[in-house]
Amino acid sequence: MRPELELIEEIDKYLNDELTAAGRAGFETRLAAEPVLREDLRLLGDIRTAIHRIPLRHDIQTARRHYHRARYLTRWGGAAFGAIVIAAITILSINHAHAPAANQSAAANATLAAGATTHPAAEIYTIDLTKDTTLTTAHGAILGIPRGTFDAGGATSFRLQVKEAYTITEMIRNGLTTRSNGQPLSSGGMIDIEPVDSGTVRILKPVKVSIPADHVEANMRLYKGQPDSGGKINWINPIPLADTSRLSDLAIGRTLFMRNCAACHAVRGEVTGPALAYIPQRRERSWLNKYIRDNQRLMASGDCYSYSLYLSYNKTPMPLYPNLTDKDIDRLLYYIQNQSRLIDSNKVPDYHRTFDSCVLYHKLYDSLNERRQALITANGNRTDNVRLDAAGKPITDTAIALVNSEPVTIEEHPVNYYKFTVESFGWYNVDALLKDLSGVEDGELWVHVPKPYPGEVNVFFIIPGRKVIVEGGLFVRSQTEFCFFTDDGKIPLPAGEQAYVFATGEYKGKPVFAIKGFLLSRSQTIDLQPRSMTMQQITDTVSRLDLNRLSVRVGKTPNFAEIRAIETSLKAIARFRPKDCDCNCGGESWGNFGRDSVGVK
Amino acid sequence: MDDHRLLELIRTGNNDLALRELYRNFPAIRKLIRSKGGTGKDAEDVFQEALLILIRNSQKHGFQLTARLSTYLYSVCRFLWNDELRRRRPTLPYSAETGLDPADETQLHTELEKEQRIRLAERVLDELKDRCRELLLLFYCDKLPLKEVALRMNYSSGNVAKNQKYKCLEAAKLRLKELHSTSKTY
Repeated sequence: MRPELELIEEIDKYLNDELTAAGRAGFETRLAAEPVLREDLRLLGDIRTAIHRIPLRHDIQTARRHYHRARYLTRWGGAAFGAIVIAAITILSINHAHAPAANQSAAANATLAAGATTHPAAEIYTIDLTKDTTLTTAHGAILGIPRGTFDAGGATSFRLQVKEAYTITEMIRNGLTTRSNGQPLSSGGMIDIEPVDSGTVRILKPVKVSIPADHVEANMRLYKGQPDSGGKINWINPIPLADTSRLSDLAIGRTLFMRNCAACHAVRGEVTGPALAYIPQRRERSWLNKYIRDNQRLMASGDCYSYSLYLSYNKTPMPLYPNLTDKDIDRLLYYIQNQSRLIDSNKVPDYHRTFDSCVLYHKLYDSLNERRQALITANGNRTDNVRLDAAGKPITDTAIALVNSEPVTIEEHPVNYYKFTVESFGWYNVDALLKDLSGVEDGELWVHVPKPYPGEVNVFFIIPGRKVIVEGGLFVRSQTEFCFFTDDGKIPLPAGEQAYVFATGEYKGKPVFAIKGFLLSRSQTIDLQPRSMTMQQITDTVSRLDLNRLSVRVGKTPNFAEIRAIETSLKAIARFRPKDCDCNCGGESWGNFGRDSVGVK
Repeated sequence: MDDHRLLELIRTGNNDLALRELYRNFPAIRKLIRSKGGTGKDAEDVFQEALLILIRNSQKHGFQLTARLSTYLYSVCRFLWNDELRRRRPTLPYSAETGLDPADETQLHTELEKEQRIRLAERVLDELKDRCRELLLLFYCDKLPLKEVALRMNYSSGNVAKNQKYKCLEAAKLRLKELHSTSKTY
């Protein structure tokens, strides 16, 4: 073994940490003594690091590509968009010893000859020469082989070998490099076509080749592969791709996008307006046309979705582009679609889905709620205050004329679930007391009910000894106090007698009740704390007190079960309600918008 | 993905996954470089350089992250860009503000010198014959045994592969030495 070779082996082992302890010590001693060895070690170390950099740089470039473009599009459109094919390469002629003279004219055509190195991923296809053949390869390339393209020396079929490389990994695996005379190329894909029995097959006509590309680059060129002596391929003689019509559309689309849209939109991510990734798949083309040209007219015509967009984006309408032609919009959308492929379709928020859920939610909600309200209305008032005379007929109150004061306004709550019936025989009320006047003086009575109950309960004041019952009204200014005669709390009272106040009502779907007894004085404020009770507890509490044949009963309303069921459904549909979506189109604001935006007074 | 998981990916050789994740930091870097007079291309270069440094460092034993990876990358990029700016305009006063702690910064200076040398070595590899480069890749990156290398490269025996490897390495070494002596400016 040559000493240099040995030296390199040793340095390798040292760097790999493969030397024995003794060998290592010896090597390090020599290192300390020999500057040349130190330099060699450093140089080789650098080279080894640089070798490791090759795949790393590939990885970085892949990450970069991945970042700047999503690799494959499969999700939005399903299979239809799975393999986007560009008509890319005009012709591949097979570089061959028997190539006919006719092929010389096509000198610029790409020749992709296999190198001598190992190429593991070859596919073999048998081509029937008596028919036109369209061959779709394992990796999605499409070869158009019309009848008469090949001459296989009289045979009716021959076997064709195809090798493909569309990703960096596949290229490395196939031993293909992307360089042209030393300059690196960014490859859009490579394909190699060769007859298996190369001695007998001649190519007579161009083969049309389309290779799958996830993204069209405007400056892609077709290179011819030229194998060097080592079997590696150098890519030379670039020519433009055959079908560049889509590319110029792309360029125009890009210009249109930059000029008109880019100020407010990006393909990826929100700017002032929503992200446009995959918008051609996400919306109807007819809708897009209308929206792009005149979104305000679309809104005014009652398109709820455009109104919802308007609400969601700060009530800032998109400018109008009435002059864009169908062709312009085609190109614009083509550009957006092409850029979209750089983006993972799963990560594009679809605003329309949110909107649909929102609309569905409101539809369901409205219909359920309407039914619920109807049932509640049918239930009538929460409290029935029935006064019966000795014969069992209801007594009608005598009208009272009050001077200088407003009478209490009794609020009637609609009832959801429970109905309270206050029943009394032959009772008087305050006007009777006033007329009587025996031992009755002007006094003041307030009942304080803490929030949140005041709006939920009815409050009654009774003097059992005088057979008086009167319902209180909420004092407007405090909203927590009830008064019973005039709304300044004044009421004629017989001081020193036993009295009660009680509150009935329901809160959060459960009956609540409170009662308190006290001796009347000229002026007092009574605190009532309603508590949730069962229907039985309420009836029991009242019957235990000596209330002079007054009874308070509570029962479920006729529509109890149905209202409960509707409320369960309302809760169940709440999951359809998306966050951050305003789809309130039926309302007043919608009508207003329609008028304002189009300037109709 | 959290930083530790990322570092784990790098240590276990899943650079592709880690890089894909790390590349998300690019917009911030592009903003930084653009705000300091660089182009998008400059940003891409600086960012990739920082990724290389990050990956090399995180593969070292005992590498400890003192800040979040994104912060680290940002600081390294700022450092690299300052360095690049001074290289382009030597008259520029040295702006020391990188947001790195001094120990890290000293280390980065050393890193940077090493980076320059590795870049030269990469240039050498680039000039090497494709076949040579492939051989070295099989040998050092795939760590294939000699026999396997010989099979892949169509050599008759492991010994031939070994000899070829030696020739390639020797050629690279000589060329690198030559580059070092001619480009002392680096």
